[in-house]
Amino acid sequence: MSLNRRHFIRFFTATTAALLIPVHLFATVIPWPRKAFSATKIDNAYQSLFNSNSISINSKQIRLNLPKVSKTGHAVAVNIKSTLNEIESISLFIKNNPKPLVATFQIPEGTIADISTHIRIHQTSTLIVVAKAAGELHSKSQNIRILSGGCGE
Amino acid sequence: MRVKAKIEHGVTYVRILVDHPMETGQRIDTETSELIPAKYIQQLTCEHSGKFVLVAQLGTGVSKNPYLAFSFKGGKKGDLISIRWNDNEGDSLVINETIQ
Repeated sequence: MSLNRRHFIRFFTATTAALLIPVHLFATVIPWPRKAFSATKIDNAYQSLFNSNSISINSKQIRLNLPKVSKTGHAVAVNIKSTLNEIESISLFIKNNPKPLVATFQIPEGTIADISTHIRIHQTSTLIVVAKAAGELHSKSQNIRILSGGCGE
Repeated sequence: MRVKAKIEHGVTYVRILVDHPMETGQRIDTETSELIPAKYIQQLTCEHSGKFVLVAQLGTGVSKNPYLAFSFKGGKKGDLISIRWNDNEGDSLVINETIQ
């Protein structure tokens, strides 16, 4: 194959374009943890997500803000704050939901550990937040009473 | 998807509201008595100047039309942030928003 000027330019632009795709962006993202999200028991979800069950409970450096009682479980507002140093992730579990892992948030440096969201709570349960900081797991939990079911519509 | 990003004392507060059914795959259609297939957002990311400021991985326990609020340091007024979601069926949406 003769590599004339036109071919060279075409080849050159194609390879540079491919190199410009920001690979570094994808490198930092952990793939969606399918096994942890499909676990039906909270212990299996912990094991699959953190590869460990050793979690220090009742951390004073995690604060939860959610109601103690909710009329329905369709959309319960939850706020999670943490003052832990070197925080890497915050994960949210509802013990009695059909699939206990609700969400996991990766917190890059510069992002403040203060997250609000709306979640479904199937029935009266314990909400558990696990924060990973400096390689260690810390948790905080609170009970929430649901007066009617929430995983349906 | 609606996004608001506002800076105050060097901290950018981001609020996101997504239009998405977040079907759990356990609900039964009352007319056809068949299961409604699962359709839910699995990942929602926010980028600022080429760096992720939040990576949220979600399951079916997140409410319909998900709401998410968080904040980060390092933004400036007029900067762009880019928010993207992907769901389990491969659908996705990206929007850019200016920090106010």
